[in-house]
Amino acid sequence: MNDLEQRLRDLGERANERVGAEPRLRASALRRIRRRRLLASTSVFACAATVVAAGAFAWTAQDEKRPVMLPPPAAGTPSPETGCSALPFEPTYVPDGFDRLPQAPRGSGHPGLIATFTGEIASSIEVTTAHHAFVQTRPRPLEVLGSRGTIGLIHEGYSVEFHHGECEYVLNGYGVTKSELKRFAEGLVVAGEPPVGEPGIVIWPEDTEEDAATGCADAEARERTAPAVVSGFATEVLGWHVPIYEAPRSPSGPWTVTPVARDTYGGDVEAGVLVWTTEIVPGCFSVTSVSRLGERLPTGLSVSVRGQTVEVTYDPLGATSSSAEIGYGGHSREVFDRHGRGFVRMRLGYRPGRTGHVLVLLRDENDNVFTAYGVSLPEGDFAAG
Amino acid sequence: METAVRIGERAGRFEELYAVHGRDAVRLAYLLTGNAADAEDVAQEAFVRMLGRFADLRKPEVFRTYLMRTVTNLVRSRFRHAAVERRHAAALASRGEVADPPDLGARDELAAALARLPHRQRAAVVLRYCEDLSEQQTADVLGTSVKAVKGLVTRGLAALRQEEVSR
Repeated sequence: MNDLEQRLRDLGERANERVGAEPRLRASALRRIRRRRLLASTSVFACAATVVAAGAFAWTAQDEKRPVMLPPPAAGTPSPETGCSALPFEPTYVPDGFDRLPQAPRGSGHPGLIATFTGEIASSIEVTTAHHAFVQTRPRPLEVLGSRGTIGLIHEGYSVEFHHGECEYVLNGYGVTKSELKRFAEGLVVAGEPPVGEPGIVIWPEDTEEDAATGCADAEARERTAPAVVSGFATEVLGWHVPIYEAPRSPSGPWTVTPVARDTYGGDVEAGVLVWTTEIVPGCFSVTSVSRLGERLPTGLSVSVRGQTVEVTYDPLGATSSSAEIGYGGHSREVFDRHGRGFVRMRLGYRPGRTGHVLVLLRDENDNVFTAYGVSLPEGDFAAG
Repeated sequence: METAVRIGERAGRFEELYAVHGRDAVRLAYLLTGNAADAEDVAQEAFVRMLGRFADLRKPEVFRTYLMRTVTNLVRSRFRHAAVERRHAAALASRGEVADPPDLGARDELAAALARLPHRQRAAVVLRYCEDLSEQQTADVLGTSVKAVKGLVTRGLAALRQEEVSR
């Protein structure tokens, strides 16, 4: 170890002395924690089943500054009792201390959650749709419900990706070992009829499932294989002339796309994106979501749609400038943020009556896009983040 | 539906978690900000925010990773806001108006040089050497790849050495 590295380690040791006596949670922090838990357990949980079933809304205050509305089901999504959002399987094994019966989704900001098997403190297995899969590290194959899936490390625990019927699912295991999650997944048995597929979410080239199907049916349309769609997105939307592609490492995984000069852009943020695709019809693909490298869900992204007004808040990641594009059914507006504030507000001029998309592009000092966030939006009012 | 008693019990467990991990959070925040008061604020906010995402966390290494990530992200937000304040202060100074001097506190030269690194380089160097995390652990906290961590650390150390040569 050289001198500089040792001095840095010494700096860490000296920091212990500056921190002082044992820290305690302040009374104000405790009040916020108790208030959050009370509101989450009463307003949200009590209304969650009603909201999901009826498509209505329930307000809850996630924190003292900004109320968060539960997202309604996306357009075309079946009720929880049918389609991919159902729970068409049940476990024959659960880890020690786990409830055998799943719990309904609760809380906001967790799209795609179907059910949760809960253990003791800090352990759970969440069942989600594959649209919201975290990127797996070192995926390994395993068999789930007679189909080939993968199990891998995610940044909070482990996940299993698999498909059943026409649907794709993810199990996110928190506070459980890899072998416990593997045993849980391999022990699943079918309960009921296999689920039928549901209308998907897409953001590019079209941002509704119906328009994507029309685009695929167009005999004069461009090539729409997965690599072609990813290539088109990288060149036309991100402006990367000669991007580098890595194919997905798992069936539900994303394409990794980077500009040629990876370290040219963005300063201290690694340039590149992860691009998820879905097959609209055999051989024809669309982009369903985009995130920066290493991050499946854009943790810094918040979107609020109320009537015709949209607010988008995001982590600028050191961008010199950025833009946010909101579009529904092919009608888009793009607003630029020239100051790196990470916030844009726009007035659509119409009330969203179809599904749509939000796409945030982050640019460096040379006005080159170095990364992006892109997710779908349900029709109507919405808020998550 | 949770009863008020259970809610209180869960908040109590967070107090216990803070008693165990709070010092680590404050230390990391201090290394990233160079300011003890800011570090305490960041650590408190990190715990409150984590409650919004997880009911509780049992697995120690998962909790610590998430705590460090939340602290790192909060510090980055603070620096962005501070940069806006500094630009405003500079504008005031250029017009001859008095601006509050920056509160640098008592720092050694290495800490001051560390504070001048871009946020992610600083975070990577602090996590690797001051917190003694592995490259994979550092990547998990920063939400990036091991390769990116290596690049950030290399550039950060090079910048620190360059500052020493320049003095």
